Amino acid sequence: MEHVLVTTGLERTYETDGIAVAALRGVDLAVAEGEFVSVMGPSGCGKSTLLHLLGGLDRPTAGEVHLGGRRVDQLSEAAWAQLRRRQVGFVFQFFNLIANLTIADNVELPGLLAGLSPREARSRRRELLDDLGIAQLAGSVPSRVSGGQQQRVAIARALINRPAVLLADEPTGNLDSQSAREVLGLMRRHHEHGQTIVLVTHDARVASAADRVIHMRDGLISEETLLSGDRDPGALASQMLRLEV
Amino acid sequence: MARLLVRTALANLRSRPLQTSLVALILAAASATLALSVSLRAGAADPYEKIARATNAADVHVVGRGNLAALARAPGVKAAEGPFRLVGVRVRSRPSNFNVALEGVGARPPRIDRPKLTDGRWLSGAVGEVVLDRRTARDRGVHVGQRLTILLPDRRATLTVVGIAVSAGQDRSWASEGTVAALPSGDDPLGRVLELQLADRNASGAFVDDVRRRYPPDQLNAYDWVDDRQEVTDRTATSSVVLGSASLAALLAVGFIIANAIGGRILASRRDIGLLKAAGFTPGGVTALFVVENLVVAGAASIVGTAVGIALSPLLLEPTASLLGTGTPSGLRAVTVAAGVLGVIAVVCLFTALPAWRAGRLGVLEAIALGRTSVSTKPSRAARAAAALHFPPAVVLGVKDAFASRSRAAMTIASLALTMGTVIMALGTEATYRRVIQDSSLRAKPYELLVGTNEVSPARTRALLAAQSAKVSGTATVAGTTASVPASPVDVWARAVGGDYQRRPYAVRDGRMITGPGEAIVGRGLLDALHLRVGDRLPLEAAGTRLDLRIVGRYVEPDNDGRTAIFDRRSVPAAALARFGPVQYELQLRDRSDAHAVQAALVRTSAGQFDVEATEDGVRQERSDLRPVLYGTDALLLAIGLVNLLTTLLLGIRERVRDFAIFKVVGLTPRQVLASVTSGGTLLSSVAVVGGIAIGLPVFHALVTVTNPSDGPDLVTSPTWWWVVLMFPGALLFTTLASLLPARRAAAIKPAEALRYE
Repeated sequence: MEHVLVTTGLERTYETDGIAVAALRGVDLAVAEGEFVSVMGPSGCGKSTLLHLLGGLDRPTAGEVHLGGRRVDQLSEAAWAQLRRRQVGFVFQFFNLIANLTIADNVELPGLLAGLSPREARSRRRELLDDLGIAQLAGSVPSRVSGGQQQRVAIARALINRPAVLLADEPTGNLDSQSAREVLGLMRRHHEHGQTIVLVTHDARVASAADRVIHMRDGLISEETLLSGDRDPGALASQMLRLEV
Repeated sequence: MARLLVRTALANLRSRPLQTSLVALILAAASATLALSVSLRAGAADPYEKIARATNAADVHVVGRGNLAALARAPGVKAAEGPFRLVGVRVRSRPSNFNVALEGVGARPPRIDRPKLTDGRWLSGAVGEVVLDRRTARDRGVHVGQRLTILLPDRRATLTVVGIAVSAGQDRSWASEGTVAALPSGDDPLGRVLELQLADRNASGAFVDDVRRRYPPDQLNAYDWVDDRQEVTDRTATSSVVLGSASLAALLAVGFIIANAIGGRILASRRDIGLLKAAGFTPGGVTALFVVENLVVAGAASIVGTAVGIALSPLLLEPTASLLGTGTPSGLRAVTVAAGVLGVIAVVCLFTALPAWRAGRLGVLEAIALGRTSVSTKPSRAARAAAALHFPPAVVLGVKDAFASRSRAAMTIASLALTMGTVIMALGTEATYRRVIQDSSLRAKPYELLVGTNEVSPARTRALLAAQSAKVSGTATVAGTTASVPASPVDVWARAVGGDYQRRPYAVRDGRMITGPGEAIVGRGLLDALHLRVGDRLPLEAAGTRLDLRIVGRYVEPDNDGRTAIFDRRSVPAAALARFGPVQYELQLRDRSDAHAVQAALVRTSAGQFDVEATEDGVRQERSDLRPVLYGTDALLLAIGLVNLLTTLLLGIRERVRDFAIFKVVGLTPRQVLASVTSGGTLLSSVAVVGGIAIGLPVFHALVTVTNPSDGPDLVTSPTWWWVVLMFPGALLFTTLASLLPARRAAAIKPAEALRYE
């Protein structure tokens, strides 16, 4: 199986008031095309930092990142921005929709930036919003819709350019349990259609939606768990929690 | 509680050093502008009263050879000074000699009508010193220390200019009694002048009438402070209005800038307000905290800004005073300091307390939630239009973002439009001056040179003028006198013209030019005062004779409020014509650029006897005096506009760091972020340019018309279209400059950092 995302010896150290704090201390990770990987770990273990490095939002202190077989960790900010348009979609805990753009505009924006014609961007947006069950919200602004609906819009925005990989940072962390289930269901559905997903969470139940769970501790991968096809969420969550402890 | 407020406020300020510095910079700029515009308004307002106060002006001046001493004791006179000897002398100068009325005074300045020195010192009492009046010094380019050659019939004398001064009365200069006594060889042709202050200033008119009734004009003549005020007001009306409106625009701009910076800052802090309330602050406490926080900044910034404004004020006050012929007021005055410091502090309090109070009333959760979405969520028409025009997405975003906070965008546009409006007014003033300089008929001077012949005989005058005929295309003559209209209080300045006056006519706007005797053209002021129209009869009493003229046209006349009439000299009997003023010659040149060469030649060949005035010089001088004030104010307003735009964009970016981070996450390159911010700024500027033009043009036309109802409507000229068009690239450059810093900050936002602390 081909790997879409590979990191080797990935390190990230922050300097705060002259004190070096290592957030990542050498992460080797390979994500296969079409795979759904969850990154789990306690707060401060470096999982969000890993996600940011995978998507080019931050630069590693050492190590390499390969996306689609191409080394990308040394790309300029502008080159990363252009790469992200087509290859990477992001979903965040707090949705991060642009408040003064309508939901339709929010979803179409990455498409337009990637060079889609306005008509094509519109058509893909309709398709996605229909699929996510929020077509009727296209003309609304984000502040007028619920958290669950906002996260669906964020997913639509992340998927409009059919990216090689979808990076999700605690996508259910700000949602009620019902909305969280719906959002996870959507992600799984897109994964079943071949979407590669890397999801960061501290919630074992959420992590159990993935094919493989990577456990992180103190900036290192401490454990990996391959989950079977038989998905009894309760059993899987118990398994995850045991691993966490 | 007070200690807690101050500690929390200081901690808040320290935690945001850039924002604090920016607000301090804005407030300092606002204070400096306020101090400058208050100084300018004080300097430009009511020039006569200013001079009168500074010089302890006389209520009545009596001039002549009659018994002045008796008048000094007349009923109603509170104080008298003089009489002082008054002589007229001719001063050698290039390009043309000029006349000066010299008043012989003592070594101490007179108490009444005491000249106010603007440069140099007062007379020491020694012979050979002169204190020149400011207007003459300015018009003739004379400075302190310069030696003036006085042309006397039998010899030449030299006077050293030791000082320059202003006074409320008619233009005159001052020399010691010894100097004046030594000057003319014969008697004193102008007589003596007595300065009077009355117990009731408002009785001056009756006093003057009484003097005129009792004494023939060749013995004694009197005029009062109302005449002085009229003269000063006529001379300074245009400048006062221009200066007044420019300083008012600056004051408004200061209001906008403070409202924008402070109000915007509070709105951007609603989330913090929510958190403070959650920590136990009451709504009143929140308001007090923000007031204290901004007062700390405003107090320091306004003191620095006011000091800078006062230090800069001579740059505007000097040319203003020169233009108005008043003394230069000091920038360091209580009202300036109070305006600069207290004014800004008061406005800051207002614009802090109101939004903070409103924000303080919000519920805690509501305030925290609003903190995230304090931007407009209404659809933007401009963004829709930009999208429909297939602008790049980064530009569409910038256009949308420009109006993210509508009230702030509106204030920025208003402030920039104000600036653009004043730029339009400056361009309009330039265009009007250019037109008036190019077409001297618009100043009722359809000629290039006006020659006063003094004592030169008519035959020799004709010969000297004929010697320049190669460069002269026509010569007209003019003689003027004051005329009256039977059964009307209106005085008319009547001018009898002869010679080649048809060759280059006056600027006749209604009707036609006169073609022969019995016809007259008149100024708008006369038609309005007498409720006459073109075609009506105009009876005049001039130089002891009755003239019956028919008005055939209205021409543009800037002098005497347009209460003027021009007619062919053949309309006047010869005997009466002799009682008109001296004949002057109006020379129309084949090439206008020869004016100064012909002027110099005439002065030289007449051995300095001819007074030759180039018609362009006066208006050019006025323009060059007005320019520093006009462009100084424009530069000030442009600087304010720049800071305001910078503030709007920076505050917008500070509020929306997360949005910019998201833009980058979804694929905007740093350059696209830069383009996005700049295009937002460009949109605001473009709207402001259009608004500025739309407001500036009619306001400029209205101002000129109001200032000069007689000829303003005929003179006012809009800026050339390509200047107006050039304002757009100018605004683009301006915007790019203002957007550079905010755009770079936005482009440098690190998404990982911005999104980490959610």
